[in-house]
Amino acid sequence: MFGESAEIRARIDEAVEGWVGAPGPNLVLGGAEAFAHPELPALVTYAVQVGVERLALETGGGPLSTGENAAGALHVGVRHIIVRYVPCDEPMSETPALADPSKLALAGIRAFRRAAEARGVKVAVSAVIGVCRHTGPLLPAAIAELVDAGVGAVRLLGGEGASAGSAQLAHVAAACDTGVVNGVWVGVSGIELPASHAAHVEKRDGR
Amino acid sequence: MTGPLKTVLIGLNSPGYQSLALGYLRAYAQSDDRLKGRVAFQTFDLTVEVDPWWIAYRVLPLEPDVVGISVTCWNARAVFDLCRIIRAASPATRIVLGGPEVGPVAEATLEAHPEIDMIVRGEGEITFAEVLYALTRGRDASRVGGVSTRRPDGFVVSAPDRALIADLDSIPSPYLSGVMSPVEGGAYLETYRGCPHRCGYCFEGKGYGRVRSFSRERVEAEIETLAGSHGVSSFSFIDPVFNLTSERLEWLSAALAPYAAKGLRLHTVEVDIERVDDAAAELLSLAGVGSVETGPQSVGAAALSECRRTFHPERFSAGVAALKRAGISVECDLIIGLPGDSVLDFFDGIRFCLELDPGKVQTSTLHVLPGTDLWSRASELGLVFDKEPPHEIIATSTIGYVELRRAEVRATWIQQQYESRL
Repeated sequence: MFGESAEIRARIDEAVEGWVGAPGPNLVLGGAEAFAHPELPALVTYAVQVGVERLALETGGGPLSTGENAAGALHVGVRHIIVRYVPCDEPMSETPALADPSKLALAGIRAFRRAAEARGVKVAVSAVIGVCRHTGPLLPAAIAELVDAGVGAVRLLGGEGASAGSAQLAHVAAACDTGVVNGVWVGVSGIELPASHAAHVEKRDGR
Repeated sequence: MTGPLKTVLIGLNSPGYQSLALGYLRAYAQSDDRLKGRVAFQTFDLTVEVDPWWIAYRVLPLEPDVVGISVTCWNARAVFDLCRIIRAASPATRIVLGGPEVGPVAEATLEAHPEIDMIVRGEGEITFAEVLYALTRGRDASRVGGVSTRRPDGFVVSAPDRALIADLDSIPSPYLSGVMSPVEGGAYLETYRGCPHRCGYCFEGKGYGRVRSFSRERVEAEIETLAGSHGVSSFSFIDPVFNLTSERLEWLSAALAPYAAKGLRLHTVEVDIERVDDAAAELLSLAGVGSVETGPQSVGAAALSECRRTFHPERFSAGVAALKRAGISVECDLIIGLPGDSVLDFFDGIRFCLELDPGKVQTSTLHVLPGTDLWSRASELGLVFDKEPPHEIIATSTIGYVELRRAEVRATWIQQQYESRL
């Protein structure tokens, strides 16, 4: 969600006017960090006003546990949070608050769930994890953590044209299975899975 | 006997529900002159979440001569636990079960559960009253039509089936007779039994046969008394098809409309959506219907054929559109695990329903229920299911176990996304 508000509003208009069929129109306000945009509430309100039925925000998750962000997002009309989740097994920063972004993300997911429950609002929460040699071994545990926090689905994204070795495929398959046994769907894009797990393969747009 | 036959009726319902079945049993037995002063009733209308040990703690101090419990696939495990406790603590108490989970497989259930004395098969009102009458007279209840029981020598025997009750009005209304009271402004209504359809997975059409109706006068009296005098603000109709016929829908709508205009609302009713046009949708709206539940259950040709269902996409879509125009939300139901369906068929069904934007899309997993066509034909159809209640499907000839579980989970996520709307 980069760009000036006017430009974003125009893109929202374009998305709504060009929407074909039901259900919808549905919109994702994506980008690096939705909560970093200074006019996020106004943009969400605008999207709702022009007829968006389902509105999702992409976030690192951490901002949801800050102040009234979770309740505020719900108030203006956000009903789906897509958390970009980075599993880590060692500190990523010397600053304690930033050492483990995954913990911040999980706290944010929980805050959003709590706020939705308090308002009696039905929401969807999903996570996206980039798969690489660093995150691969952490995937099954990451899925379990996300399940515990309250996500309904996780997407594992491989890099464009990247090939995965057998160990990496085993991690991804284990992550898929961890999701299913815990009642959470794990979709996989950009990674060629073995036939045993082909049902988890999704297109880049999630279909 | 020195005193009345102390009879405890127990319902273990889904949370938020009451047992209309127990209401009927008690209302009918209490209206039987032969039982007046000879039988004393106590009803425990509880939820399935209540610990069986605590139920026994409440029931056993009453020193019941007879305990009657209504059993469905959802409460069966809890019921069997409860029966074992009661049997151990009070060997003289006669434990009588009835309901769709045990009636169609009465002998097998008695063989498997020595703690149970007797099972009432099929419609229970007359049979249960006859059992009570036999017991008050010290007679052998095993000869009562519609009963399966264990003889003193341990053999399980079944008396002949009892015919369905021709005149449903012979069963007193549980509400009008004072046996049941509305709870939190809500009451249950049943205007007929049986079902015009013969869906392979459902007990309703096969188990209760042809459609038999309560009289219009009886139903109108219940509506008038409950909505008019008792301040009931919501009705739950348990009829399998609310719009059974156009004429019937017109009548019901007219009976309910005066109260709906004052705020009465109907909980979600089940409809044949392919017969809903704008006129029918208007009648439903006038009756206080805010939401309906319907199929298609599957859009796969093979599954529809095996389950003896019809599905016309254009008529179905037209029905949804008519209801939406009338401001009525539609819940489209789909079942995963039907014989003949593939995973792709199942997701085609979800896609079809979502494109109609009905309001809600509900997916569930097949339960192969006793007494249904799928239960009898399971081997032939390649259905593998849990023999223990609630008899969930394990695998079909077209979908393996793992694929079933994956499809369930993915469908749940799709539902969550669909429902996360403004």
